[in-house]
Amino acid sequence: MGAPIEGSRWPWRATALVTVALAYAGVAGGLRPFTWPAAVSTTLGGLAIFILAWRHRATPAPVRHDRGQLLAWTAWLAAVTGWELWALSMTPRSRHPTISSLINSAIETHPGRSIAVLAWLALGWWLARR
Amino acid sequence: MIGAAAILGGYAVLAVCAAVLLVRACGRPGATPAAYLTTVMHHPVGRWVLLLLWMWVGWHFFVR
Repeated sequence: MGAPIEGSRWPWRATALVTVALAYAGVAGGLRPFTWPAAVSTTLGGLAIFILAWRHRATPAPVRHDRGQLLAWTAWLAAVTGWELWALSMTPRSRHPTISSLINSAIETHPGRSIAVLAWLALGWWLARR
Repeated sequence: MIGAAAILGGYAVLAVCAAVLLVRACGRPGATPAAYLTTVMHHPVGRWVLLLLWMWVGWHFFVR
């Protein structure tokens, strides 16, 4: 018998990774903010992504970008940041909602929070592999 | 006095602007938010700043 085909290991690894990520999101989504378990779980998720980013750092891909459109995105990002900071500087929060306060109300439930954790992890995974 | 409707209206306008930028980026791979982030991630400092920002987002929403 020869060595196993290299490609055949990937579905296994991908399945295992997705399972771990789903389990992590399920558990982390059930943790309450301002607690040690929430801090530890978020730190562990962050560390996993930072390790992945460290391992991928030496293989930059060639970048093709549209300069005008990148400037437009930068201007949009500045506008969002400015609007958010302006709302943040005002009170009460119920009359001056920030993006954070809007998202917080959407992730109050366990399922909502788990989906948010999964989205956060997926974004980190995507960023780490750039 | 600015009310919640005005603040939310501002976010809605910004969301429409993002949608317009996304539509304009159709068929132009170098004009998408992904290309923007990839450009930032290509710089060693930008890469770690963006990852720290990502970490802060997680901390902000799930811990603090």
